[in-house]
Amino acid sequence: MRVFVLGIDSAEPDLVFREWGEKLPAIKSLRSEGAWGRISSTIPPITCPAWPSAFSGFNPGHFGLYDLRYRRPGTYTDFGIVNSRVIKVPRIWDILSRRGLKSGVVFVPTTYPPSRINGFMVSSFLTPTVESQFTHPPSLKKLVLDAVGGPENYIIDVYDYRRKDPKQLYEELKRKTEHDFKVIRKLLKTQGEWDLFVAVIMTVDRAQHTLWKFFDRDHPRYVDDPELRDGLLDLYVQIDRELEKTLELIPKDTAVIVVSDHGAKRMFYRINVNEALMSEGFLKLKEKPKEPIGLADADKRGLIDWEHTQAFALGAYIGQVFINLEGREPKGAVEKNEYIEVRKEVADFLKNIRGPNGEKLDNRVFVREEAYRGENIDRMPDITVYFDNLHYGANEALGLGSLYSLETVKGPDDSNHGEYGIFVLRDPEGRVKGEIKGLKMEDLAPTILKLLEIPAPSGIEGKSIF
Amino acid sequence: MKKLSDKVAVEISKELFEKAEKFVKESGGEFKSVEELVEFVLKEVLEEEEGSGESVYSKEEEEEIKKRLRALGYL
Repeated sequence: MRVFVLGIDSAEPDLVFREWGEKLPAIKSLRSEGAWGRISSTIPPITCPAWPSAFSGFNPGHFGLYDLRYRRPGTYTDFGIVNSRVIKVPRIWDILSRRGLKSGVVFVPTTYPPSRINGFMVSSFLTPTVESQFTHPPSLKKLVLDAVGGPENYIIDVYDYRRKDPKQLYEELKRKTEHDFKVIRKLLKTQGEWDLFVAVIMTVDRAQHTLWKFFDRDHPRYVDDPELRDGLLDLYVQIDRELEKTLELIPKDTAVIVVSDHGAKRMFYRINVNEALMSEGFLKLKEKPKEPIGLADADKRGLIDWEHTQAFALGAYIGQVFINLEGREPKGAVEKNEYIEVRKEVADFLKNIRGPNGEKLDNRVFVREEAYRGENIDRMPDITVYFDNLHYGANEALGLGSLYSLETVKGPDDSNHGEYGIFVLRDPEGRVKGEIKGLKMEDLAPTILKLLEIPAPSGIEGKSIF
Repeated sequence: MKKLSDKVAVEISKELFEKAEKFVKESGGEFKSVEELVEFVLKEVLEEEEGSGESVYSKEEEEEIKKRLRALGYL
């Protein structure tokens, strides 16, 4: 048995399974022949930790990551960028390598620098530049670049979407999907047999932040533009067609999985979490910033009165609150014996934050040990907040003078991440069929290992779905 | 410096040893023996496993990626 996995970052189950189900024939056919369901993302539902959890089977508390950046221990706002080497749990391709099985791992987030697995790897969007060594083996880089017409045509990511015209962005994302599948199919054609092939496509995630408002009539900033109405749908359809073409290259006895790490939902406003914490006296400033600035900049400029601060927040989509705990934080102001009480006070306050017109919000609050387990739980946020169950984003900037903003200092955004992703499995042996409920991200790794008849490593938290 | 007596013997397949011997010969003096090559490769692999990951990105690369993540709305 071999396993082929296509990850579609941020693919939303309501769109893929319901709204646009009939317009995505390749996925529909896999569903009708196999098993499908929505899959609970990690807390928080962000590319990292979701993909590392999915491909390792471990809760994020084991590898201590809650975003694409992490606070360097012993600092408040000195951030490191996640890379493959900070993820200490083995991922399925590491397990396969030890058993002499071959994997192809292509564009999977948090795989830069590429590891020397048995097989081949092309890193994802955290690759610094096209000059970086982003393939394993290094000699593969030429083939990857040639597949898209040379280094000048290689696209690491499409990211500057707030400054671009949405039509231009749409065109760029279409090109990026085409580009990625060219590389995927080139590798499938040239790299010989494999036991596991995993590829992740990022374009839907990038698109939803800008193109959501053109199709969703219930979006508060809905724009009726005939040219862009089907923009997001087109990008989903394009991936479905590319998947169909790609499946033609794969032997029939391959198990095929299509999965996303989280979904997406319309975003109304953002809660300025640090402003909110300030309003209740949990966060204190020495001096008010003259213009809105990020938390890290405020820290660098010495504006934060850490000695009198009890809590502070990170996060652009999900509120991630840290208690200024003595012994853990550089200038911890909350004593260890006050920790639970202060955390509860802050959590209760955040849970009850209301909307700009005084409306009640469905805020979901998770304290650390409810959400996380594992040897690096100390690095995880003390409180994670989904404002209005993710219909409100978060904003960590200071100096905004209000609890709400439509946009961050970087610009507007249409959608937040959703707490469920998609999962589809066509098992050639037909062992699982129909809708499956209760799936979670950590179940992906043990399910893939079971398909490959490899025992899951001890301590793994997910369970195979069959 | 570790003393010579700190060394232990490890058995590897003959086929791999012969390949390694050929590699050493062709390395133009970079490796003086198969032992040296094995020590080097093993050390690299273990460092990759054990390293903190803090030195992966240069300062400039880190700034470049942070700039992109900001443009994506993550930071």
